[in-house]
Amino acid sequence: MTVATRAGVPGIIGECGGEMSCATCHVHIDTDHFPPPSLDETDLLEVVDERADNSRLSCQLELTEATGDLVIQVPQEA
Amino acid sequence: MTDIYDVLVVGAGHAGIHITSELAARGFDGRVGVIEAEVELPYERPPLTKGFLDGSVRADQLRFPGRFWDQSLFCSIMGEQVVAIDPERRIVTSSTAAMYGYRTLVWAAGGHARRLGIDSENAAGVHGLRSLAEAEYLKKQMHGSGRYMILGGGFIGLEAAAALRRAGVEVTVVEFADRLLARVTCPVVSDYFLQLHRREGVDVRLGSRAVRVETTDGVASGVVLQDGEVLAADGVLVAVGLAPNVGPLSDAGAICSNGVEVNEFGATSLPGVYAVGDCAFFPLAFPPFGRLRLESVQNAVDQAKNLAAALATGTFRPYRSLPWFWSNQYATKFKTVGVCQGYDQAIVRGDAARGSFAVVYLSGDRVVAVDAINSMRDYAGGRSLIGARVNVAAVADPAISLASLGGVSTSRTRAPGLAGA
Repeated sequence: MTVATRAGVPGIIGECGGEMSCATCHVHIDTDHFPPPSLDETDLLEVVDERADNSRLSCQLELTEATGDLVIQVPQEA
Repeated sequence: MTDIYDVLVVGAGHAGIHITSELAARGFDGRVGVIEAEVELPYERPPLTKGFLDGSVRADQLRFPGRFWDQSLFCSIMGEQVVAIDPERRIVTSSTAAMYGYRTLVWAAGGHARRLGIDSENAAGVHGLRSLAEAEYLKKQMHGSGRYMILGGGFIGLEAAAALRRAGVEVTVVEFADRLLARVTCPVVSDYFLQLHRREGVDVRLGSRAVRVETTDGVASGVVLQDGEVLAADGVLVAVGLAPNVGPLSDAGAICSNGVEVNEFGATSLPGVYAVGDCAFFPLAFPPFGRLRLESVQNAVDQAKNLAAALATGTFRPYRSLPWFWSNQYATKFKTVGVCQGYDQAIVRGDAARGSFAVVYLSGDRVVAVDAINSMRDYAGGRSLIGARVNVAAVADPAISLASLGGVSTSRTRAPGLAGA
């Protein structure tokens, strides 16, 4: 999320500053290289538009060297 | 010759900075100016009482990224405060006697920390917690041997209490009301936070009031309570709420009561003058309706974006974002959605004693607000219920998800094809 907000990616607002509170950093990811979402994240994902099987809150995705290449899509802004 | 701005924004907090960024994002090509009283570049405030105090967020990480502050997009005037508005000539005067003209004025000046008005409140060692400078000051005071006195048991006071306790500081919280968070939640939630802070070692004094700050060589050394008890302290945090910064608007003839009154589009009673954020007294689009003033990042950002979109496109839409708010204290995550006012019934879901529960506030069978304590599921479900009618008997059963109670849903979830409709 921080990478996206610093770069000004439209649709990634990060209103709560990455505290898993607002669901304004919703993305679709193409990789399973991240640890699975916590129960809280899964619950919060219920409020987003365009929920999909590969939906994640980007504030919960920590980039590491092991992450590798990935494609992240921002669902169309409501 | 006075500079004239197409849009002149007063205040570079969350509200002001989202006016400029949204104007830029929408390709607004008029001349935009921002006047800010602080000299710091704009920064995010929520972490000031949370991650910044516990060290997980550094000051440079609080700055709004450059795109919010791109000088090619607007002109910033830092360290100046607007002290007067001439609504007929459409000119503001700043604290340095400089004058700036506007076609549209957006007042996003927020508020300042209320004071108690007690003796020696201006002594060294007595401070508020709104600005980065104040947070940096408090952080320097946080070490294991200290004793802190916090006057006010609202969110700011309690978040600071949690951070201080985590750093090993002895903390006393003095609250005038007979419960914590009395203005914003129900007694069950207040009691949860009381037990939480007492378990963490905070000395919480309810129904109590400081009448004087004690000083030693001009520096705060304690406070005196109304019953005469003297409590020693190395620092005193005054966290008794926010007073909206609307003096110049009021002086210029704008209708002000609890902040400056605006309509559903953010317009004040002065032509060409709008207000957003903590200082705006606006009509709520959800129960209990009526006007209110919200002190929250969500409200500041959403009102700013809504107004900026209107200024950029010429199409004004009523503000109708769902209010929500969060607070983190120790390991507890509190979330609330809707406005906890005008309810006639508060139904508890789950067991408060077990530390994970929710409170659903109802007016008749209509949901006005949901508080969720360590219960993301109820927060998420509750978001879809604000303003909706529910089967009241089912609300108390935590086995039934709140999300399923909505009937005709006001949920934000829509079929992809309808997004934006």
